Amino acid sequence: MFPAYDAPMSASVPLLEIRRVTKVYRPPGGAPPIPVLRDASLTVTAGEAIAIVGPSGSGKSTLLNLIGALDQPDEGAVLIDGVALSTLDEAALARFRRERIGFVFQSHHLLPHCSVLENVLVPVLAGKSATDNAVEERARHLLQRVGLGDRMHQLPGRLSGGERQRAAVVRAVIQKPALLLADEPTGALDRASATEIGRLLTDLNGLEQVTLVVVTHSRELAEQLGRVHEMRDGRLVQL
Amino acid sequence: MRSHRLLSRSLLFHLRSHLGVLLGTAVGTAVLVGAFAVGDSLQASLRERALNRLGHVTAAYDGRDRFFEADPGGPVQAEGAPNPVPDPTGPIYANVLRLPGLVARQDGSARANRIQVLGVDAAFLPMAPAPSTNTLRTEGIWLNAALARQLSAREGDGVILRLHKPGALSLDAIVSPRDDSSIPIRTQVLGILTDAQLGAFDLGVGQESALNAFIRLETLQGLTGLPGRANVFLVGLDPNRVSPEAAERHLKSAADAIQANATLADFEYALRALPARTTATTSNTAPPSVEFSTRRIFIERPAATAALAGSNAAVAPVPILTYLVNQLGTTNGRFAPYSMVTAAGSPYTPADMADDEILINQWLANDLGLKPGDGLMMTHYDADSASALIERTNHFRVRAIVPLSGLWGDRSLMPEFPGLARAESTHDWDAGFELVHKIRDQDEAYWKQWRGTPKAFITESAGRRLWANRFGDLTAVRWFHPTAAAASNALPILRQQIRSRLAPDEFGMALRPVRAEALEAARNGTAQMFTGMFIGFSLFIIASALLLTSLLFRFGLEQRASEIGILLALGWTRAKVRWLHLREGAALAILGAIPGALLGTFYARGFVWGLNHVWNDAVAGVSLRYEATAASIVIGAAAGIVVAVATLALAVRHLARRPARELLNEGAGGLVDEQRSGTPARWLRIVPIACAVGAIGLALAATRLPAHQQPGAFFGVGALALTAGILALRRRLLAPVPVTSGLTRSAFTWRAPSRQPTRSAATVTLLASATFLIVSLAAFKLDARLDASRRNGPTGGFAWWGESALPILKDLNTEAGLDAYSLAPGQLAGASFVAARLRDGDDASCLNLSLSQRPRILGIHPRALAERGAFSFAAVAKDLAVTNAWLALEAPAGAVEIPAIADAASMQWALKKKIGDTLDLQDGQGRPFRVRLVAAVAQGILQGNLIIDERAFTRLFPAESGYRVLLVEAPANRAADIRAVLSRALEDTGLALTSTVDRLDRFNAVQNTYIGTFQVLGGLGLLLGSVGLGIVVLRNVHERRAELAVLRAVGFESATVRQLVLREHMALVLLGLGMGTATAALAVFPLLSNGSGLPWKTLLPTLAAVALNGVAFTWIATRYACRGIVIDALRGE
Repeated sequence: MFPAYDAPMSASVPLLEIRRVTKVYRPPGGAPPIPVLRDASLTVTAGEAIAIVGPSGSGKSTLLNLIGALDQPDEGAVLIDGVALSTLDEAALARFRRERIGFVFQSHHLLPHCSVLENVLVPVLAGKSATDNAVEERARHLLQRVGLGDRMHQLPGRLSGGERQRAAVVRAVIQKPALLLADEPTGALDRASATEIGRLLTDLNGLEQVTLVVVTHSRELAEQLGRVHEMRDGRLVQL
Repeated sequence: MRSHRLLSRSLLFHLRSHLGVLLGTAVGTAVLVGAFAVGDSLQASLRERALNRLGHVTAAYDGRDRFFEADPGGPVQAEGAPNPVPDPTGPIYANVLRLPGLVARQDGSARANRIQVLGVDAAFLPMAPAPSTNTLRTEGIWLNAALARQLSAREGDGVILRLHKPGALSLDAIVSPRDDSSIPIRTQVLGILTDAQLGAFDLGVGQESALNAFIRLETLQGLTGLPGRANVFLVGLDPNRVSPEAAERHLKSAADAIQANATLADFEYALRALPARTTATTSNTAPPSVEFSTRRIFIERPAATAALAGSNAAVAPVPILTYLVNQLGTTNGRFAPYSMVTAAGSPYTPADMADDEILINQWLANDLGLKPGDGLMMTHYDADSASALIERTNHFRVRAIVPLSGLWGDRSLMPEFPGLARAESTHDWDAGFELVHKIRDQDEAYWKQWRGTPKAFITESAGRRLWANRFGDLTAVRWFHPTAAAASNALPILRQQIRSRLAPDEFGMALRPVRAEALEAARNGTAQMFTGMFIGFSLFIIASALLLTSLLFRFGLEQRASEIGILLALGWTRAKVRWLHLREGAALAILGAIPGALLGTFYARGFVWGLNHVWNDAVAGVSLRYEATAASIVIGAAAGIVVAVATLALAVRHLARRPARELLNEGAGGLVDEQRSGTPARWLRIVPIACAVGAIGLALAATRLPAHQQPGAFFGVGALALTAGILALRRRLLAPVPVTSGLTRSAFTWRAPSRQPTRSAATVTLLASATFLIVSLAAFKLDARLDASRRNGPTGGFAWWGESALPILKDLNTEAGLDAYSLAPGQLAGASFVAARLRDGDDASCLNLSLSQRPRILGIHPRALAERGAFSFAAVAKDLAVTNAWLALEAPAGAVEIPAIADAASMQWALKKKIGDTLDLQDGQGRPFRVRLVAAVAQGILQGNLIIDERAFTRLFPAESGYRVLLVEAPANRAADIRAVLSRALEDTGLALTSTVDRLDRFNAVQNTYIGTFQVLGGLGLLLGSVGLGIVVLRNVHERRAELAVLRAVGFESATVRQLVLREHMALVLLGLGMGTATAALAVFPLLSNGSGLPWKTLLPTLAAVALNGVAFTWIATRYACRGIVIDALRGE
């Protein structure tokens, strides 16, 4: 029986701890396995903002998926608030993601048939059958803050790339997560939009006290964050 | 590298994704091949039945009421020619005496009312493929399997056979005896003749097996007083030994031989020499003569023409017409009853005698006290008035009194009236009508001494005017010669001359190529139509298979969008890209068609099994055997390939329209953002409302329509409602996102289908339309109980449909008619009758799958139906100038085209005609006549018959006596009693009364079974279509993997995500089913409101299976598509 996720435990415990995590991909067809992560370790305390950089295929996104409980390590452990994610059942993991994690992806992945506001509210439906006034008010407020106040009833298809990504960021923080994971959030954007998103993420880190873990190729974005780690041969090396 | 190498590489590389396309093509092809094979099977079965009925019989002359001399060579054999020598490679001949009859078990436990009694001899046996060796050696009867089954009879059982004894004169003629028209024979069943022994022998093209009783020819000839006579002549050729060319030659030669060799006796005419009738005075001496006469009493007009033209100038023919008059009387009230009067020219009457003058013999003059110049009144029955017995009165002036001797004392002037000629006393007369006038002693004495010697003579023209009738207008032609030797010498010359002028064709004496006709009827009947119908039945399966094929191919291509984009980017033209993929599709279609063709043969076998066991009513009880020709399989497979390629071409065309950039982006996994054009088109707002309003208006109007017109109207209501619903849904899916402040899971679920509005609307439309059609077609199931008592309904308001084996001669609406059948007026109180004459022919109803070449003809009194407003009409000719279409049957006697009415179904399917078309038929003498279809009766009990005016009928078929179809109207509470009374009273006629509702049910069963078949196969198609739904789900989820991954990432449990997807798609399934069922409920409202109800037993399982299938496929697709969704979708590196 997996224990239920019940966070946070205490302020002395790091928000995120990655302990000697190994992950190997096993391609189909009998091809040799590909080690992606080897004894990777990382500790992040609440309120920190760190960037993870590295070349393509170095395992950055894999690491992020492990942190977000979207994947399981072959060896080692990922602990959030001192709880090893591997000990949680699916429901507990879902709850964990719902309540403690926010995700921003390289592609915004907005639902094209829902308005911007509805997209922002979708995570709430993961735990409830309907949204309430408070969360709706927060959604509007956040959208106003990111400059989408007048676009909140439009479909994503009518928004620019930068606007879509801003909406995706708002969606990621609507549940007030402790940890915001961003996977190449500026990778598909022009320079101006990328700068704008970078600023938004650091603002959120400052104003909302959201812990940030950002995987990026963008040196500019990495430099805006407090700590930078590089994936090198499957290990995390602080720069 | 060449393009075909690219093609083969592509085919092999994408083989897995092509498997579905191959399967879809195979299913589509299987259904098409199956439909063609079912058509083949039906055609082969009908052909087999046709050949079973005929054995080796290749051609036949069906004389019906004309009895030719049954020489071994029949009418083919020349007079005096040796009998034909049997030759296995040549034609064989057989004479058959065929009479209608009825048969019952001696214990009365079973009876068959309309059977063929066939008098056959040893010559008949080789006509069978496997002749019985011991048949016909002993007295008794052989039954065919169908009759034995109906009677539950076995060898040795005792039966009573009652058969119609053909008279010399039609039973409708005045002076036609009544008492010996049917003969009861108590006999024993000797055995059962199988089909191989030609037990099923029948010259007609009917669906039902003939009920045959075989009896020795000689015995039957003796029983019926027709020694040495037969009325059916068969020419047989063994198809295994005689080539088609030789067969054609033999038939032509036999046909020519009939034309050349048929004797006067074969026409039922005779020439005889009469001696001189001398007296003391020479003035009234009758010289020797030659007389031309017939056992048919009245000389038919072509024969009379031939006889009158067949004399030489030196000896003029004397046409003679002798008739029985009711009374000859004076103005002072003295009458002589029942006398023969002869109409003839010189020498019987003076050349200058006027038509109102009369010669009377001395006996009559003495009896009535008449002298020359006195007036004389003569009453007689109208010769064509049949059982109505209309009496006419004419006045003459006595021109002279002639002696009762010599020329005028000739008893042979009276034809051999069957009921009179052999009577010893007037008390023995069977005149065919009640003798109401007192026969005095002197009349009896006259008969005893002078028999039928005419008492008076009128001119030939006066006689023709008074007594000419549909049978003829002469009873004899005489040629007077000075000496007996001269007469004797003239006889063979006259015989040769007259015969040479008689055209057998004009008497219907011609060989019909019955085998070729039967095969033609089997080939051109409804079998071809069935191929089309089975394709129609399987339409949903074909459509679903094509939908699957198209979806799979298209999805396959969409997955390869970047591949296409690359080709375009590399400089390939769109046409070339399209051609490359179309070739790939064509290759898949051909590969799929091969197993499809094989599958099709199994599908056809299954369908044939279904038609034999489940849907047998659709083929009117025919037992089918599976047969498929190579041509049908090839055609079916080719059709499958063509349809599949056409479907794939559309998919390819759609894909290659998109720009290379878009295709490349899609290949790179970009987000599918459906760019909407804003608000839905204006017509999407207006049309649904218009349809809804139209549906309400039509529903209100439909409630005021007659019951039989309501199904069509309510089907329209349902269809309009469905259209409104589908368009409204489409509009809803295309509508802008509503401005909402919050979000619920249900709203979120329902929003998803609008992501792909076209695909979602198509899913709902397909399911709703198919459900609507399958359910609502039940509305067209016919219920014979509806309107059963209404005169303008399908039963015409009649309770019973009666058909008799022997004619009914009296009008049961009259007291005299009731009296004739020993019925008291009260016994049939409340009942009324419409009787129809019947000329047997091919059943033209939907129960006959073969082509109806000689339809059954009913002669009916149009006013009898018009006055009661019986039946209603589906269509009438535009130029009809009558208030009731029945009256359009009345046409002047000389009309070139006889107006006719048929029921709409028979007209369309069996006759393959429409209003205004003409049909060329043959009258009773085999002469052609033409009918024009002036109206079509709506579906009802008249189905299967061509209806003409009774007057035209009796003119065309004078030998068809009396009425053999009886429509009985009876109060509902007395219907059963009236049936029992009628059946008992008319038992000897073999009257079989069928409930009109039951009769209608038999016809309706065909259409109802078609609908049932369509519903079952439509349901299968719908099930197959729901597989397509599963594929759509897979595709939808595949396209949305990233979105669904986001849901997982933001905290949705995987089960919740699956539920969302499942609910979203189940909503579409249920919406489609619900919309289809709800609108179908409107369409079948008449059924629901009249209590008939829907066939829930078949519909509910179908709908439930579709719903469950939809759930299952959606669930499977969701599970499959959601597997590993997060990792795959979010692995960005």
